[in-house]
Amino acid sequence: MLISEKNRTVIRERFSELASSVVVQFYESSLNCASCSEIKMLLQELCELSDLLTLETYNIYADEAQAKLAGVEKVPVIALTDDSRVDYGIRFYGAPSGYEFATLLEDILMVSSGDSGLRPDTKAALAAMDKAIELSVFVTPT
Amino acid sequence: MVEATEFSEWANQFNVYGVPKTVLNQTDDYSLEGAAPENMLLEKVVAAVNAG
Repeated sequence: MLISEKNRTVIRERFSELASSVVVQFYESSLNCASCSEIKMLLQELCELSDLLTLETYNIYADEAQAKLAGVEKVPVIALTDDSRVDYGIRFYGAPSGYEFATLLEDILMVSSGDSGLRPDTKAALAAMDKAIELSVFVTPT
Repeated sequence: MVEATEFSEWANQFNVYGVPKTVLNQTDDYSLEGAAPENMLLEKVVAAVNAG
């Protein structure tokens, strides 16, 4: 068990705020991915904590078509979406450990609520953009 | 989010020393080091868009 009983209770509590379904998509490889099985286990335990969470696991080789659709070339990576399967461009590369686990929980709640939490003027500026921008936030495990 | 110790080659491409570091469009031209307040991040995004 990767998530302690105590933490499960806390997380279940937070997930009671979930307004709609969230789909957690995990891309893995059976080769050259030492952290893959542990991340998968963590995500399985996490998704058990709410009926509104679904875990989908894809192997980048066996599920090549899906990986290509999502633009996934490196693993391990987690993508978050909902029942619509729209690609919101949310990607977690690597294990969501330490502080990033909290970030993952916040992102799940955000996708569920459909509200980014950004200010109205930020949203307006972003809606007016005509070019795709990729943001990569590099972090280290805490 | 990119975990820099697992994806060290990727992080090295952008000279990631202090984290968090936000890199835009896979170049170091519009990067931000440290926590990025919303307006500062938006400025970088807009700059990257306008750069063409």
